[in-house]
Amino acid sequence: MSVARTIAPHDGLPDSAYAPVVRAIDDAAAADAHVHAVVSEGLNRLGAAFASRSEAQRVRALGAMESSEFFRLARGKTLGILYDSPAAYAYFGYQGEAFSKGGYLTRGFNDLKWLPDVPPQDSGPVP
Amino acid sequence: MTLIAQDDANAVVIIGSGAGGGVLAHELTRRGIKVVLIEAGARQSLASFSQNPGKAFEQLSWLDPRTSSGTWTVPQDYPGLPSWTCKTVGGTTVHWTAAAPRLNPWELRARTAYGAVPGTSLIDWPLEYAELERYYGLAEQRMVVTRRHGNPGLPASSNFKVMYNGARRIGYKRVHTGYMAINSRPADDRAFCIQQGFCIQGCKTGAKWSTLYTEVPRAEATGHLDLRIQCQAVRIEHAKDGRVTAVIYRDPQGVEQSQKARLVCVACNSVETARLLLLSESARHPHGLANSSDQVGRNFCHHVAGFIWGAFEKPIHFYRGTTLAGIIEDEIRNDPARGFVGGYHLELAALDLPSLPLAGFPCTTWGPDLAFFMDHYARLSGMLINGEDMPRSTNRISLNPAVRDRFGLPVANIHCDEHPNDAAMRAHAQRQGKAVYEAVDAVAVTFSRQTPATHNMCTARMSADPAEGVTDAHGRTHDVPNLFISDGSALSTPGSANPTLTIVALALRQADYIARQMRAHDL
Repeated sequence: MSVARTIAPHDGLPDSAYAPVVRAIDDAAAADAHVHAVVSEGLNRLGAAFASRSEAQRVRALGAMESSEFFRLARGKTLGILYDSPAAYAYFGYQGEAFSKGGYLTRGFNDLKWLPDVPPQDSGPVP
Repeated sequence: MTLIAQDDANAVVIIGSGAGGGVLAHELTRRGIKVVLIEAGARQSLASFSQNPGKAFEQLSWLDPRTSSGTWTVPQDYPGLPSWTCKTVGGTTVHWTAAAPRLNPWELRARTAYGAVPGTSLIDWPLEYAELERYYGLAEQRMVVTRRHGNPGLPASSNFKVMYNGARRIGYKRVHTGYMAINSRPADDRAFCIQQGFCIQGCKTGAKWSTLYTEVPRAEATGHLDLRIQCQAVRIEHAKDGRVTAVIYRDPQGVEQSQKARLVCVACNSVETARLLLLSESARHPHGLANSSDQVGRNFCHHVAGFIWGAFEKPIHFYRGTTLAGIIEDEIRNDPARGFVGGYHLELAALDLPSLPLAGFPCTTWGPDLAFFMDHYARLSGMLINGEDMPRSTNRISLNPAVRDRFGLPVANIHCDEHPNDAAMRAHAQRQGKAVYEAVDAVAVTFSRQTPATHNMCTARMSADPAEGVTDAHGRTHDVPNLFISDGSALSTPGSANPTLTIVALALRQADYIARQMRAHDL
């Protein structure tokens, strides 16, 4: 959990958002002896006190392992899973697919107001 | 459904149903020529396209194993995916973002225009620009490209407004919503774009041109097409006289089948096209079919490509809207004073939330840096660099016997060492992109490194001199008179334009040529 939180630190996201990452790593380790060895060795290297360290210390510890198979696995699982949930969509302000709702054409695709509009010759008519 | 006998030696066999193969199949069948179209992937439809980015990726992508080597950063940042193309009916036109710009005249004379750049294998195209230009016009009309032939542009999205205002403020003049093969109004029996933002997942309205729902069904409607899906070509056979005679493929059950052929057109996207030729070695072609020049697989180009992300204080929602509808054209020029030869496009870009961390940043981005940009997800703007990379004879597709596919055949290895010209162009483009965003008060700007090759080119290139390439100016191989290359492999050099329009233009031209030569009994 603290490894995933160090790789992708979003303080406003609850632990429940990170739990699927931990579960996926556990499942991968249970299914494959090599992955199991990689994860065990990685966690051993970080040490039991890792979770209680400051963020700067945790970043340093993981940074020292950046090229390890353990880090690549942990980063891949964290990034691949954390941002692919309804909770993450809501938290980061992503509205997902829009085809079922008629696209973003009528749902704000050009609603930015803090810059001037693009003149017609460089844009095109809204159908 | 049309059936062509497997021992019908009068059939034209096309391998691959994407931009090159799909268009060629339609053009030949509408002239009454019998075509067997062999496609490795399954067939999707507007209804079956997944709206989950991860599932769509698995549904459409070529995920058979490939390996990669060399100094380029792709193997580190995208392990297992050195090239991102499709394996499905329609090929890579199903996931393409539909930018359809033309090459420029000087890009067809790269060797002459750039001179002898050390460490490159630049050549000039064996084709006059005026000839290509004629077919560009036909291709654009067929694909209904915006800003061409009276087609209106696509409307500017919020993401484009940011890019546009920044670009204008630093002095860029040629900035607009692009030449897109996406309907800005209903046309070609297809709907208009509703700005879904899911171009890469397969366009569920069909507003985006793809051979899946244009060329392929129209070829089927002629009654002259036999489309064989989930059939993977594994070897091309030839007779004693050197002419190709049959394509060996694995059917959906994995059983080996043979289709006799009058002529064979290979359009498997550059990586697999080169691999198939290399796999087709024989006593007569000991280094692979049509490879007496040893150029098959060499000169692999993939464009200088990478993302530029700007984070802002105010909302943008860059995921809303057509993914790539925006371009800055001012850097598409050959001006060695910038520190490199060739030019580059800056094109609009956005990624869905699950894909951004995996595809948008280098593997070295994690921790607080990653969190900063992800926390700004709704306030991000994005661009893609698309520039001309330098061909090198050592950047190549080769067979890797240490890794095998499910048929036991060696997979393709993609070797790339980045040329200093590519690095200098990338650095320049990143500086310019940063300046664009800072001109509209970005709080931070970051970059990906080289992204997986979606534009694979030049691995069986056209050349005037048979020693320097694989095919002539019609894509007909120098070594084998009835073997053609019909995809991006045939480009002599990559230029800076997204390649699909050029592939379609060359396929249209090749179809005219093949039909003419068949009538003249040359084929």
